Order: sequence, then structure tokens, then C-alpha cells
Amino acid sequence: MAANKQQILQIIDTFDKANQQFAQLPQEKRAEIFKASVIYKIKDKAKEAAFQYFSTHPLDSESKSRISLFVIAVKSANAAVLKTFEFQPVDSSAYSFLHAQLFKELELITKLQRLTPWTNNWNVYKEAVEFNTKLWQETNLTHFLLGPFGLDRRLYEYLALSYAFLSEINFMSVVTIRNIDSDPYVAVLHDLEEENGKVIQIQLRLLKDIDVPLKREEREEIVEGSRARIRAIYDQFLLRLCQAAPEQPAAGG
Amino acid sequence: MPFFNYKNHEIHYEINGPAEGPVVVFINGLVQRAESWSLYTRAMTAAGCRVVNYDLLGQGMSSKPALQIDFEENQVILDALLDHLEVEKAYICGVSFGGVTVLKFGLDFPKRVRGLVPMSAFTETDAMMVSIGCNLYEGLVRVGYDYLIRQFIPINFTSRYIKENELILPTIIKASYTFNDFCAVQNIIESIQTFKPFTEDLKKIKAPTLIMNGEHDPLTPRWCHEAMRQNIKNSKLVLVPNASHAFTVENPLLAIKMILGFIDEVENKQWKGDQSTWIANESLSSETFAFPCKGNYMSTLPAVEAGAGKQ
Repeated sequence: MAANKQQILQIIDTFDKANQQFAQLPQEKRAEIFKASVIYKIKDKAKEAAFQYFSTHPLDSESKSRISLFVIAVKSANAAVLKTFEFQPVDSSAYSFLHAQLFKELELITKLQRLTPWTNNWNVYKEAVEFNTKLWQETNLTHFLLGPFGLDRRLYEYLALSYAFLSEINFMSVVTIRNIDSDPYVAVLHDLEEENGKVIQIQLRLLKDIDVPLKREEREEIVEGSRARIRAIYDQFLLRLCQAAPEQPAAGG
Repeated sequence: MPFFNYKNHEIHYEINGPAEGPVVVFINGLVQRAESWSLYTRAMTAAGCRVVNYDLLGQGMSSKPALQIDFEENQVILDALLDHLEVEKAYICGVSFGGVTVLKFGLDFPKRVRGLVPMSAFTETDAMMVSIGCNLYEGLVRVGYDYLIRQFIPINFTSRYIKENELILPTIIKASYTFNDFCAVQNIIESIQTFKPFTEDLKKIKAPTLIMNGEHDPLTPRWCHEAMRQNIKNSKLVLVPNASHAFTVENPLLAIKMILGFIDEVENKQWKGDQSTWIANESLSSETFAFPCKGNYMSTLPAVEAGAGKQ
């Protein structure tokens, strides 16, 4: 049985007293307590680990370099496939979208390259090569580099992969930033992910509407498969990112 | 963290409170998550209720289909969730998008309903609502998810709340950004494209229904709730003073008090659904939960005598 009116008033009073005590604190203090009290339960353990890590660790030049190398590897891979569309006959509405996306990806890579405070620790670059190799192997990217695309399953699989690149990799949701504009690197990362949000519209529209001989269930399965593969690679990267970068061996012999 | 499987999708839910208590379900608004109801859960379980909150398909920790979300499937998923939880009947409460699902559930699954609480909801749209909706959608698609959330701030809250919480709002935005997936939210918004007005259908609802509307709600204004009041015979309309669309966030204790009062009346067979209109009493300690609303509450101007102002 639920509470009667008197019991309701008592319960409300108890919570109201706590609220009023909280309301009397200076707003800065309230904001601090509120922030600590928001439970960032994240289903994905790697994302949660990264979120917790960046709550207490600064986004230093090594972390920035590692993030940039990962993002650039993904965008370069996507651009490599997008370039194959440049040599195809212009007979599909998809062409103009994909053409625009290629140049947007190249622009974003350049922006990130310019704003990254590149670390001198070469082990970071060695680590990036490992992830780049993993990316190409586990997504079977070479499958999309050969020959022209038709309105078929292979085109759909590429669109799903490209969609997964743009939707699954999202660093702004895990790094803790007080003021985006105070750090040019973070500002460009933020802009880049905002651009991803716009570019992804092309993929989303095509995945929904493109005239390929696939049923809705098959389409869902392909998209979910691509997302799972990219999520696995991204999760591995995030877990590695939560650990200190491998140390640079001392110079000399 | 419990999940329930619905057609190969995971639906995240939480259930708390005494097994024998009346079951109260909360349905999220567009960019909320199950955690958004944590104060409601604590207060209502303390009052002896069994509280269920969950993430809609595409939200929070539930699965996020990339290609499509069916608007009409939300109430079906809730029905399946109640089956899974072995809950026969429940009070169904929801805000905004969730408020629409409350009414749809009431229409499609009347036998499972002990009471309905649609808050800041709608059953049809007008040109202004469509215009605001298009702007929100365009903000999401052309600028990004956090812009969508920022667009919601002046819609959801009053000026006083924004001022008093200007340092807290970034955390609210961040939490929403971390938990939601903009493509999935986009799919949820796009699912509304298939929305068809269902005001006339409300006449079929027989369950006790407490309709709640914030005084200054710009997104789902007074007329939306008045349409519900006029068409649901077993209803009361309660206006929440000095609040906007998200009065459930801005003044949660007042909303909790009203919902608990409603449950108490229904459970004790004291509920009188007479299509009357009330104003919630802002004094939380008052034994008078609400006052009868007199005058023309559809107008924001005071009543004037006929002919006044004519030269």
C-alpha cells in the first residue's frame, strides 16, 4: 500500500530539507557536489575506464598525440576508400555525397595534424602503427579498395563501416573538459566530432535509403556488425590510452 | 545493471521498492535516461511504491538501432517489459516524448493501467510546435548533439532556474552527451515523422488520469493539455506554477507530491476524475496539494470586460 497524505508530506519534507541545505551553498560548491554525484554509469567498460581516467588525469601532449594518431589512422583509412569513388562513373546520387566527404575527411586530418602538440616519445608512434595494422586487418579494409563499386552488398558494407567510424569513435564523450575554448587542441577535436555528426548524415541517409538488394534485417545486421568491430578496436585503444604511454628508452648506448 | 531482451535489442531497466507496493513506471523524455528519475525513485520507494524506470530503445544504456526506431513500438516494448517483470498493472508516468507513450500505452493496453500521468505531453501538433521541432532536428543534424541539448535549455527551464544553475547545466549537458548517441536520438526524433494526431482517441481512455502542465511550457503549451482534459473523462488537469516544459526536473518534489497524492487517492478509491483543472500548491509543506483553477486559464492575459479598449 502506498503512503497516505500525511506520510507523503513527511517524505516530501525530508527531501525538501536536504534540498534547501543544498540550495543554500554557493553555486560553485553546488556545481562541484552535483558533478561528483552524477553517476556516469557507462555500459561500455572501456569508455567508463577512460572517463574515470580523464576525470583525474590531464589531457597531456602524449594523450593528445595518441588520440590524434588514432583518429588520423581511421580518417586516412576512410579517405583511402573514398578515393576509389573518384574514379567511378558519376551515375549515382551517392557520388556527390561521397566526393564531398572525402575532402571533408582530408580537411579534418590536416586540422588535427596542425593543432596536435606532438610528443617526442617515439614509442607512441610505434603503438599507433600497431593500432593502424589492427584497424586494416580487422575491418578488412583492402576489400573496399579494389575495383568500382556497384549498388550491391559490398557498397553497403563500406557505408556501414564508414558509419561505424563516425559514430563509434567519440573522444569528447570521455575526456573531461572544463572549457573547450581554453585549449586549441580540444577545440579542434570538438569541431572534428561536430563535423563527424554532420558527415554521418550522408551515411545514415544512404544506409536507410540506398537501392541495394538487401532486406531491412540484413541491413541492420551489416550495420551492427560494423559497429561492433569498430567498437572493439576503439575499446582496446581506450583501455591502452588509460595506461601511461610506453616510455622512451634513454638515448645513447 | 539489468537488461531485458526485446527482439534482439537490450532494454536497460531498474526496479526498486517493496514487492507489494503499487508499481509506478517512469518514461523518459527525449534526451533523458533512467537515472534521471533517481530522486523520484528514492522518494517514491520511501512512500511504499515499487518504481520501474528504463531507457527507451535508442536511449541511455538500451540498444541503439542505427537504421530505424518505430514510434509506435515504444508502448509495445513497455508492455513486454511489464511481462518480463511479471507486473500485471501499473501507474504509467512520463514526460514529454515519454508522456505521449503514456497515453499510447493507456490506449493500447488499458488492462495493464492503474493510472496514467502524462506530463508536458501532446496528442497533436500545431504550426509552432512543428516549427520548434524542425529547429531542434536541424540543430542536431547540422550542428551536433550538444547543440540540441543547449537548444533545449531555454525550452525546458525557466529563467530563474537557468540563472541559479548556470554552473550545473554544463554537467547536465555533459551527462546527456556521454550517455546518449546522437544517431539514436536522431532516429527517435525521426520516428515522430510517422506521428498522427490521436486526440479523438483519448475518449477511449477510462483509467484515472492526472495530466500535468508547466505554467510557462513553450514546447507543449496549455492547449495540448487542455485537449487531453477535454477528451479523457476520468481526468484532472494540474497546472504547475512558475515552471516550464521540464518541471519534473525544475521542481521534482512538487511533481512527486502530486503523483503520490494521485496514487493515494486512486488506491483508496477517493479519486474523482471530473475533468476539473487545478493549480499545484507550490508550498511543499501544505496539506492542500492543489487549488481549483478559476478563470480563463487558456489565456495569459487577465479577463477584460466586453467592449473594453474600443474607442
